[in-house]
Amino acid sequence: MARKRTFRGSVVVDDFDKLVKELKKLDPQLKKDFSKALNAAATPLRNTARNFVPADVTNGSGVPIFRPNPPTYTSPSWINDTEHRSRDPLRWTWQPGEIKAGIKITRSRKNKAPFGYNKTAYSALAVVNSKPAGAIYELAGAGRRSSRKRTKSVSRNPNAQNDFQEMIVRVAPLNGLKGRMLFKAEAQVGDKVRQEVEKVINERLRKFVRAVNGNR
Amino acid sequence: MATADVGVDLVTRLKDKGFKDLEKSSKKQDKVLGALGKRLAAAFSIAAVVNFGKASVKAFQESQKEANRLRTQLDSLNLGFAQPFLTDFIQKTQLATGISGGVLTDAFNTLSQATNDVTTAQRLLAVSLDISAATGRDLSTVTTALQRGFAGQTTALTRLKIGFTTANLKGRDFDDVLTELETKFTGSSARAADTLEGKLARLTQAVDEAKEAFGEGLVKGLDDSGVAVEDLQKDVINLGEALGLLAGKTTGFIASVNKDVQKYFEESDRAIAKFVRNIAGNITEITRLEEERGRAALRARGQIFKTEKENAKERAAEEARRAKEEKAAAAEKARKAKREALENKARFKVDADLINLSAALRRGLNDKDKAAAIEAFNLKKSGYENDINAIKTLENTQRGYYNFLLDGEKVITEARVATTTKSIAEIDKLVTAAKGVSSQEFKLKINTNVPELVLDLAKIEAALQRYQVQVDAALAPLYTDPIFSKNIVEGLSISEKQLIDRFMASGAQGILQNPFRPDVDLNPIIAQIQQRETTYTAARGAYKAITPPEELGLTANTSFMGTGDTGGTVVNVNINGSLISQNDLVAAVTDAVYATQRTGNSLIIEQ
Repeated sequence: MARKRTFRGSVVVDDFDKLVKELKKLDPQLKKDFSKALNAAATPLRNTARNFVPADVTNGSGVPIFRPNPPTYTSPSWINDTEHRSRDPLRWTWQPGEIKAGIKITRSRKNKAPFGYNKTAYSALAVVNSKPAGAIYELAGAGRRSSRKRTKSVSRNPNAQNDFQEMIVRVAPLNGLKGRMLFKAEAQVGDKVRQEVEKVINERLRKFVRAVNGNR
Repeated sequence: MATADVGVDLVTRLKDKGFKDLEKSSKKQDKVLGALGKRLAAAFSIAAVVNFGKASVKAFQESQKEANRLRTQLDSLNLGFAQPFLTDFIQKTQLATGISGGVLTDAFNTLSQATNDVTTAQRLLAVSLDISAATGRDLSTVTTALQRGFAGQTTALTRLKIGFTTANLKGRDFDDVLTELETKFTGSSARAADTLEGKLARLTQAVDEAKEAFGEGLVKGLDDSGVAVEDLQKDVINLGEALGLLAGKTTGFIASVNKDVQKYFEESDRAIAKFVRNIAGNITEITRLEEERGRAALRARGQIFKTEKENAKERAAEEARRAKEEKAAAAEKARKAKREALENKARFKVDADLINLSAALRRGLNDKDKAAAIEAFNLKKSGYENDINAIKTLENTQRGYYNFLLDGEKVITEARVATTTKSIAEIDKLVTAAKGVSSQEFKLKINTNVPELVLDLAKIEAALQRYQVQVDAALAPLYTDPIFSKNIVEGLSISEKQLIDRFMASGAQGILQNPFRPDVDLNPIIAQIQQRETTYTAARGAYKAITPPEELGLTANTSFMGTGDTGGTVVNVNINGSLISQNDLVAAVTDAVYATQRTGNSLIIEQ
């Protein structure tokens, strides 16, 4: 049976674990094939998102907003300054290859949410933008006022946060979307990918497993 | 920024969290009770603690036994997960009614064994408590009566003297009886618990609960300190004996405390509640935990309903399967008996011919006549055997029809299994052999890549469905056959009987009219029988030609072969004694023949 229930746009499968277990019980290879089928269904979303990764992120004057290489902090003015250093050197570094590699398909996201009366929803298939720089570029300026939680700034520039937010929306406007790479790709191919995922689960494998078990 | 939050979910899976919460809640409650034990320990003297500890260890052991009994019973109903919920239910009932947890657990187990579900058992337990409180009968008697009543035995219910007689219970639905009992006795248990005696009993249960919790903590603590659990009780008792004097004083102390407590309860309506809350000292925590446990219990209840429904479905399926197997076994037994009777009948005919042959041979024939007689007998014997084989052949043909039904189902199942193991050769073999479906439809390349896999799985399923349709079409004539559709085994027996009757009545031509398998070609079998018949007739003619029947004194019962030869010589055998059946006659003649063989005397046949 095709399930129409969704949770934040994703397909809800109550007994997903059971389905996977049944597949493994029938044949371990089937479980692997099922995973491959799901990944294949999600691949267009990942590839489209990767296509939206720019070669660099600079302002109108060519000054990089994200640096091409991570800081070394070896200059005389930085060598003894540990207070204003970024927590992660790659946080403000734009390396397109790494960012693209960070946009990937995952089967186990860490987030969970209450669902219905006594259930908890976990992600079973997702495409994530996992690199810090990629996530910042993805979402900068996209949140609601209430969701713009400010992290502690360690920059020497006290207005760094405001400057960045003003600049990034000019350099890479959101145009009403929720994000610049992954969410933009979702807006374009999300529906098609979800249909394909539903097809894999409902119309093919799920029905097949039930038929094999005699529960038509 | 949390990188894990930037993502697009495509599939969401759900997990139950209700029972984890329930377990967590139970653990928290245990902590509160453990704290109560510590407070009690601090409030009493060392000797009192020793005494309390002794009782606590025993109480803890008893509670463990109760929990095990409950767990075993629930496991048998596939409801093991509901143990925390039901333990909580029993504990609450214990505190509300003043009846010990062990008695309640036994009562609950008794009832759930009869009902096979805990929901009905809880309802029956509530009614049992009310009846017990109203009539003064002990709880086990009442629960046993209700258990038997549930199973349809109403005698025990009438013996409770609660207004029921055998006459007015006869034919009534137990649900009606239960509803009447609930209407009649509801609230009796609560009223009984509200008396002073009831309040003291409830307080006793509360103290027992505290003992159990204290005992559990004591056992755990000493166990952690390296003392073996087996030695724990002995050590505590020895310590208690060594402090006998203090224990004596403590006894006096406890007696006086009990007296004061009783007086306190008599003077104040809300004394129990105040007393318990003062001891616990954590009203807010208990209230919060109670609310949490209530919510978790509600969720557990939903899961219990679901499991009970599944259990009922499984039981019904199991009973149906058993009934089907018994029916099939009975049919098979009847078929074998029929078969054996037919074989005995045929064997009897051979025996009779053997006797006639022996009689003929003893008349002193020459070698040529002897050879002719033996040949004639062998032909006849061979004819009988061939008759049996013909019966077997036809029976197997019809039996094969029945097996065809079974094989069809088997092939379908095997084909499904084969698809899961991706054994292409197996699929080809099964499908080609069974229904002639083109094996090309199953030439799949499952391992090539993922999209193809998914596509292939769909193809396999579609092919299976087509295959199913073909099998159904092939079997359709069977289902429309009036006899096979009613009962294939019964039909087999009937056909066998009719076949034999026709064969006996009109010879080989009789079996031409096979009403069950008009499509089966019986000509080879018929030709074989006709050939045998011709040979036999020729041999018999030759035999008659060389030996006149009057001389032989032998009559061949040719009516069996249905050739229409009504002539022959009648042999009269005089037997001293009574003859009841043909078997008796044969036995008598056989004995006579054996006697002549042993003694060498001639067999005298009078015409």
